Amino acid sequence: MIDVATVIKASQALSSELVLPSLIETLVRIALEQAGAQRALLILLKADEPRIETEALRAHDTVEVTFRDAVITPADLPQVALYHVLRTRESVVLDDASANSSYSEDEYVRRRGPRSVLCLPIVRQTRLVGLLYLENQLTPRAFTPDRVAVLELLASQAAISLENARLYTDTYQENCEHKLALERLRRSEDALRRREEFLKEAQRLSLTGGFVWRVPSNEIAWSRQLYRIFEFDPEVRVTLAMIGSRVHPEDLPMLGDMLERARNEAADFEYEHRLLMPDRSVKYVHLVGHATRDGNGRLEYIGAAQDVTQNRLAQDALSKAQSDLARVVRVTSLGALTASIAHEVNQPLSGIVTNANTCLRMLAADPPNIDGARETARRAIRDANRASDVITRLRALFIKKGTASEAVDLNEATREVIALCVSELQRGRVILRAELAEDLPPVTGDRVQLQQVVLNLLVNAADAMSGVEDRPRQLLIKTEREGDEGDRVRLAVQDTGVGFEPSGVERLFEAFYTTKSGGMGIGLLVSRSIIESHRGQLGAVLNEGPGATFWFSIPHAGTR
Amino acid sequence: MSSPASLTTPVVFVVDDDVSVRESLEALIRCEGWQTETFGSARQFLARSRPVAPSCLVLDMTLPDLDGLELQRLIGIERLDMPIIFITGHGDVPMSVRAMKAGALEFLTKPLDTEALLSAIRLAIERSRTALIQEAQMRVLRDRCTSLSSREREVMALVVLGHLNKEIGCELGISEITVKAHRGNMMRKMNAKSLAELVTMAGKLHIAAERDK
Repeated sequence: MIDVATVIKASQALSSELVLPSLIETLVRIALEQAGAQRALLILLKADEPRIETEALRAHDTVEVTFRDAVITPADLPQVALYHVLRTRESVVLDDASANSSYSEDEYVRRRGPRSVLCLPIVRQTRLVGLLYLENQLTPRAFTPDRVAVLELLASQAAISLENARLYTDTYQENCEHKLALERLRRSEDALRRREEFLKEAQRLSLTGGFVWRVPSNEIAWSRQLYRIFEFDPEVRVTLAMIGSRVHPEDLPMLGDMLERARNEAADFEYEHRLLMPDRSVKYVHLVGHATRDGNGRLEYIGAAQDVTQNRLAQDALSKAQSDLARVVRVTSLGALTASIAHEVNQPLSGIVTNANTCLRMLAADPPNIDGARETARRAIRDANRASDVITRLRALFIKKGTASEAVDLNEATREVIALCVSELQRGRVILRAELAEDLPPVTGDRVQLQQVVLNLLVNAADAMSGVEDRPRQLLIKTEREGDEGDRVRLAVQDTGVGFEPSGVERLFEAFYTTKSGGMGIGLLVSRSIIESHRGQLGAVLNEGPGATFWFSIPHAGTR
Repeated sequence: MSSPASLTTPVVFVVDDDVSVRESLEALIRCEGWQTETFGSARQFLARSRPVAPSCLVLDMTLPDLDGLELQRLIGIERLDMPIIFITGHGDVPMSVRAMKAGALEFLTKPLDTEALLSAIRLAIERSRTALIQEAQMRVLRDRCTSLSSREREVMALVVLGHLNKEIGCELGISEITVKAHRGNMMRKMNAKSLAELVTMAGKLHIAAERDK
């Protein structure tokens, strides 16, 4: 008899299971119970291959369900029954397998000796979904037609439920995966957006823009910041021609070379060049490019360009300030130049004041001393001119007019100076001798300034000898190469005059002595500064005999 | 033997390495009626012998071979007979302080204020004259003192302290009469007209006996 209530309950149980594992378990249990079997196998087709999904065994009062998920072997169930069902999709019912001649050769039957066997298909619409195998070891004819009918009903129920469960699981899984994928996508998008913002901000702050240049096609992609630097409309696609229109004309050739090289050799580059903007302002751009190959092996450059104008301008200003300072330092460090100038100008000024006063006194005398007054007035004028000379000479040397720089033949320059004072020297009874080296290399410098120094030394030497009576007044000018590698040129003026106090040698260089010997030359202070600006040295040494030697030594042209 | 203080024409010495300054000062000084000698260096000046007339020195502070203060030291700090007037083209305070402390009469900066310079020279010559006269006087006094005998000197030392002849006799172990005789010789040789005059002379000569108390 079919217990309808039980069947209904079983059916309900099956249909309520959505989760596949518990559905399967429920199925085999119910099958086992309903069939009164001791062993049940649920076989499901996976990719058209039958596999044992679950096995249920009745042991005394309990039913043990084991998930197998295994390949079917002859040791699992009678192969004949299995294949029959697979082939025909009809149920196989054996009253007594062990007594059935068709199954006498079957390995399973021989080994296990099952009595009642039921193997029925689980079909959904027209598709075979699986098999249900049931056996009773003890009782033959256990699977009565009623029972078989119930089981076939349950099997069809199971087919639906299995499919539902599978669908459900698949859908659920899909949903989950879908949700996960969405979540991941969202997070990626967020991260990407943040990175983009950060990059944009970094580019803006550092005035750096990024670019990609695909060499074969000359396609160029720019970041917004780069558009900003070049002052182009960001909506417009950038071309090499456009870029060229912004590059400073003087830098175009260099840029052209760079592009050529970049095209031919896939090598990273780094350049700095100027841009000339429409409003005629100049920007400095520093660019770096990294060579890379795209997926198809085509050469492309990825790089960045930075607006370094501020930096460059600041550096330029700094360099200029440094050279200005160096010049000022050179000028003012020469022993308080201003104080010396004041001192030197005060001398003739004092003369003028005194002379003018004396002139007045002479005129106020009784009788007026006209001749004396005339003489003092004349002297005052002479002193005034002398003062004026000092200032003119100093202006010419230091203020605005820089040092000219040319190759100077020191021998020739010296000969000219000698020619200038030969008559003066003769009047002073000075015997002049010149020993100018033949192989003297040229020096780089200001010819006029160097001549002034030579003149100064000559005049000083003549002065030193002006009081000498007991020996000949000999003046020797000598030029020669010196230094370890012959890289310096030396000029020395040797006299037989009164010499100087060894302890006071530095004092000699501190004053101008512009008024010495009729104000013909500049003083040693200025001479030294000229020589020093030629990267040389000026010095004085006492002779072994009478007199002193003043010398200077400067590097010749071509030495750094 | 020495000669009395000379009243010959004062000499102004000028030592400055700048020719404009030298020449202009020379003309000015001559115009005022003084003699002058100019030198371009300290060495040249030092070679010149000491003058007998009243003199002064107009000296540039920064000479090529020797600076002004050095030269002053070489001349001799306490040369009251040749006061020094410093002149300079620099003119800073520390320099002027040093110059004045070193006993200079005046310190002037160029361009020189003519009136100030002439006043300084006049004052210097006055001081020089006074110093020369005093020096001459001192020489005379010393000569006179040298001509005293030792006994006469002893008497003088006690007389200027205000002792009576009797006391002096006791002190020296001689009679009052002998004291009087020595005193008379001494007064004559010293050419002192009165006791007061003698005391003054003694003061100048730093003569006085140390009385044991």
